[in-house]
Amino acid sequence: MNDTQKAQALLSLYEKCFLERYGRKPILNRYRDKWGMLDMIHSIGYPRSQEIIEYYFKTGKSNHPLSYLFNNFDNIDRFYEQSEIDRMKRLELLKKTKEVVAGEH
Amino acid sequence: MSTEAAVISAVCKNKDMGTLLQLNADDMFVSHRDIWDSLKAYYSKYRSVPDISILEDRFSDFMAVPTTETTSFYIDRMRDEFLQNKLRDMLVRTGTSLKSDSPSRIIEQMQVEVNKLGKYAHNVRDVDVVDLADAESYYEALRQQSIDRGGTPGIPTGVKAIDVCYPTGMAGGHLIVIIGWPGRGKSFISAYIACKAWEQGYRPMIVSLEMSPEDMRNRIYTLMGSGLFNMTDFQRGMINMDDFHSWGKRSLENRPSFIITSNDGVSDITPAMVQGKIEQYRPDLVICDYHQLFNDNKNSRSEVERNKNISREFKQLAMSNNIPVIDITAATMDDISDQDNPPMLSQVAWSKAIEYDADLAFAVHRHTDTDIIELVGRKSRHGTLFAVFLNADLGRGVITETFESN
Repeated sequence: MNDTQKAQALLSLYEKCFLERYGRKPILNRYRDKWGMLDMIHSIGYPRSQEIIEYYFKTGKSNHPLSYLFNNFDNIDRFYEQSEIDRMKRLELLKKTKEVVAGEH
Repeated sequence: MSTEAAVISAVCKNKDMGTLLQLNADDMFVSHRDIWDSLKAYYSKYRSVPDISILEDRFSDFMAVPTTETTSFYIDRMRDEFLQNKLRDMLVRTGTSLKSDSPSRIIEQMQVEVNKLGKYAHNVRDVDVVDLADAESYYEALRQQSIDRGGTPGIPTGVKAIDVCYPTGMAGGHLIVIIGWPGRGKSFISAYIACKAWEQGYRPMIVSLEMSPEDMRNRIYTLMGSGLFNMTDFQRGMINMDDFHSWGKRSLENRPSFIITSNDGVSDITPAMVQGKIEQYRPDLVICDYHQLFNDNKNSRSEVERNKNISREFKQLAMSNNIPVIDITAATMDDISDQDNPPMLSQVAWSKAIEYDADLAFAVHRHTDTDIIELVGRKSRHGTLFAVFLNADLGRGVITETFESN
């Protein structure tokens, strides 16, 4: 799959997530919007772009416009990474706390 | 009239020991030191200020003094008298020394003595690290307090994982911040902590600006019953009154007070008003539910400034009353983050204020469509961070700790 095809696939993913969230399809201009997706692919890679699009629909942004994603995918990516690190830290903390509590008994 | 007797009388009348405990008051009592020590011992043991008649019975030469002002007023007078006497002594000794000693040595000596008096002259407390006697007396008092309270100087939260990782407990002066997304169990967990404190003999006070006092009481009864009642039944008034009455007689009579205070959503509440309630009820633990619904004492217009001020003012409430204060705060929803995980400190708009003011901050997060509540320590000044899951039946008020999420 070349980059243009990947960009089109990301647009389809965005369309699918939007439909699931709002029950209707977004208005897309696939010819124009593919450039935004290409920018994302070149910046953070295709697999990460897929994750970020899915994560975008979990954020508090209302209506989840495509333009906001194009302008802020780097910030979303940064936060998503922090969130993943936090998830790992919480698991580690859980394990440590369990040991400390067990040691008290 | 003896000022020391007036201070002791005012403390017993106004029941505000906290005002005095936070000062370097011990040294200021000279003629009534034994009575003051007895009052402190009583307070440490029973966590309440005795009636003045108890002190009169115990010390035959002590006579209560009629007081009309606040305790702070008499403390200020006692402090002024104490400083006057100390300064007079120092000046007389200096005058005498001038006849035989060198001026430079006398100045040096005076500087040392004036510095020592400095700690009494204002409310900023100083501690000299090399003052071993002061440290020993502090640790002795702290040890006694820990023994009286079952091994910790503060109030245990009732959640084993937190209590093990935060060994001081919720001690006087501590600001504990609970953060979470809206509707994810913050108020519930704080009510649970309040119930656990009450079960141990402490007097909690919940300032609930989110729920009516009756709604909060429903929740408290459900938690106190721990499986006996269903919150929905309370909300519908469909409880068996005989069962409720006999449970109430058994569980609530002759127990410490448990105050819920609310504005019913009508007026603005500030930390200064909370101070008024503290003076009225003298609670051992105050829970402010929740941060965003309070106004700061300055009535600031800017949201960020207001929230920062409230954080600092809650901390001051905790310090000045020598009690722990729990500040419940909602994490700030934004455009680039989700609400599927416990919020991090950075997800609270005034996170810097929390980082400065809070002694303990932890996130509460009920996972969507489950009874699992995750608690994660985000800041701990007196212990280590922790994480634990609570299996919480919110309807019946039954909570069990677990380290498995499913």
